[in-house]
Amino acid sequence: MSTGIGRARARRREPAVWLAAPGALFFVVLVGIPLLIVIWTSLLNINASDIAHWATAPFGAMANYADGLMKPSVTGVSVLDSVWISIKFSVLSTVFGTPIAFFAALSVHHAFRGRALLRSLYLVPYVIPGFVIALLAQLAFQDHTGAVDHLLAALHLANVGTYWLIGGNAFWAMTFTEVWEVWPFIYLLLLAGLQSIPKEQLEAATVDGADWWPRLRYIVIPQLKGIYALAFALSTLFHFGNFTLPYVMFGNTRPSSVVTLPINIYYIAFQGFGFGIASATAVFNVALLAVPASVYLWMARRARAREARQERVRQARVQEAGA
Amino acid sequence: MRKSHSAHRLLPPVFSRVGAACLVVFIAVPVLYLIALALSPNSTVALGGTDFQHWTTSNFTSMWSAAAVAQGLLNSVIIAGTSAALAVVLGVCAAYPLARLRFRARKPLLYSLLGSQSLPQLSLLLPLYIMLAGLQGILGVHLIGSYPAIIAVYMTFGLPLATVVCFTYLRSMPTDLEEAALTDGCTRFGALRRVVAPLMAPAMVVSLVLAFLVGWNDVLFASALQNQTIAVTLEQFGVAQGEGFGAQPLYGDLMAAALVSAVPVVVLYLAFQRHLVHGLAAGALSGT
Repeated sequence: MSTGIGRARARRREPAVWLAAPGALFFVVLVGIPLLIVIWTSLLNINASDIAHWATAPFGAMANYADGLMKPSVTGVSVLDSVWISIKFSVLSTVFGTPIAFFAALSVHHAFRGRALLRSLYLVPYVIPGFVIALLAQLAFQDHTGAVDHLLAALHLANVGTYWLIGGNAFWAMTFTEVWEVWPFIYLLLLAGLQSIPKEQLEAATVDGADWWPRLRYIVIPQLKGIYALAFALSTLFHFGNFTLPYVMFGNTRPSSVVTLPINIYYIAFQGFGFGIASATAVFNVALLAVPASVYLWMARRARAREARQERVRQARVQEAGA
Repeated sequence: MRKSHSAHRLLPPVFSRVGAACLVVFIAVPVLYLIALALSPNSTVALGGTDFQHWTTSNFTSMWSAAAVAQGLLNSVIIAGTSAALAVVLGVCAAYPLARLRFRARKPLLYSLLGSQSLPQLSLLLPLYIMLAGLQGILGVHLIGSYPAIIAVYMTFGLPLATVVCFTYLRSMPTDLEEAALTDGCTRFGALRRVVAPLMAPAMVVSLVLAFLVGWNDVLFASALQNQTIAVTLEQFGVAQGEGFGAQPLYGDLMAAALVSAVPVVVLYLAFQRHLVHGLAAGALSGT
């Protein structure tokens, strides 16, 4: 990895290094210390409430931890159940959003009049603030008076008064809203991936008589796989952490089918005042997300290495052409 | 010529056109529904509809007294604006050495900045709340619910974002100009101020907008820390309407206020679309 000017002057002490100090300090205070505190509180409370047990049976503390995760919290839903709700919610949202995103990216790759406008339109759901969409969804899904109820009834798909905001239906109303709101994120990444495919490949294939399907199948899809994996991981990660939608969309009558992990932790901490259990759950959440996050970092590094490789090849070609 | 033009077509034309039209309808219907509700009297919205013949802009005048919309907007502008500005200043300063110099803390700092972006928000909210409550006791001043506290908290997300965006931008910028300035006797700080900073303007705009949106769109931190931002104001207004027990809910006002708080953001986004999309993709792909 080259560091530009840094290489030439590596030996000399650069006072400019200290420019990073204020940012780094803020970062340590706002992220580093809080992370240590949350780990500490998650352990402290458990030890304090059950210290004798901890002394005699080292694994007792773990059972206690597990108890906190298994028992229903103030929301009436156990932490493990909300982990499952969050996983379903985030993976399904990504999966349902994928075909829309693929279609959208593929439909604006070739040049045509109005392409810029269409690209902007595709971004609209993503750029409307999440709380606005959640408030709108709350009204749209209301029974008897909501637009969704009437629309589905008019299409003979459901009866008026299906009650989309309570019971199991609420989960699907929430997932639908989430899909509508964030598919453009996957679309954006796919579009970036499409634009990095060398033009010559598509043009050469066309000269050789390849129609859209072979071009898509043998040139585009293989080169989009990497970035799609990245988009999948990132998008799932974002959905998993979405607090705004379930919190705002359902007001104070939140059905248990939408108690996602962030909602549950929030209520344990700020309504049940169980900061210990909430911290333990938050730490558990970090550990849970570390898996997709490390996959993301790994994929990103690979994507970067691939880019660097392509860049080297391109430069070599330019040099050859010049020689 | 024609061949190379159509070479980028990746879907059959009819499918592409019909599909795009369906997608536009899919996007437009909820947005138009929002606008229609905002333009309908409260009594019509409460009955679940909109009446095209009786559209009125009265919600846009009545909403200010129905809820503390103006105060909410002002709070959001102050909080999101200040935290974004601070995040960008500190972010540019941190990005420069990270991109151009070699030092021992470089890699750990870079990786922690990137890693922090995938931390669940609640894992930071809880300890930050505990810290603020503790500091409050020691210093004897109110921090929870104050501007400085929430501004600092939003920087938790704004600062790494701004640093990463500026870092990625700097890495893709040639070093020739700086080197020329340095050989001509400019100090490094001089080069940073006179040469690098002006060239960094697009990256700074992107990070400013993105960091602003962090604060503007947030509900979690503002409700836990009891700050009446526009998001929290409207969320609570919505809850109050739902629990109004018999009273006519002011959903028309609610939708008008929601529309007013969404429009600046959408305009901001679309105005800087080209830069933002680039910055977003760079941020997501900057695994180093």
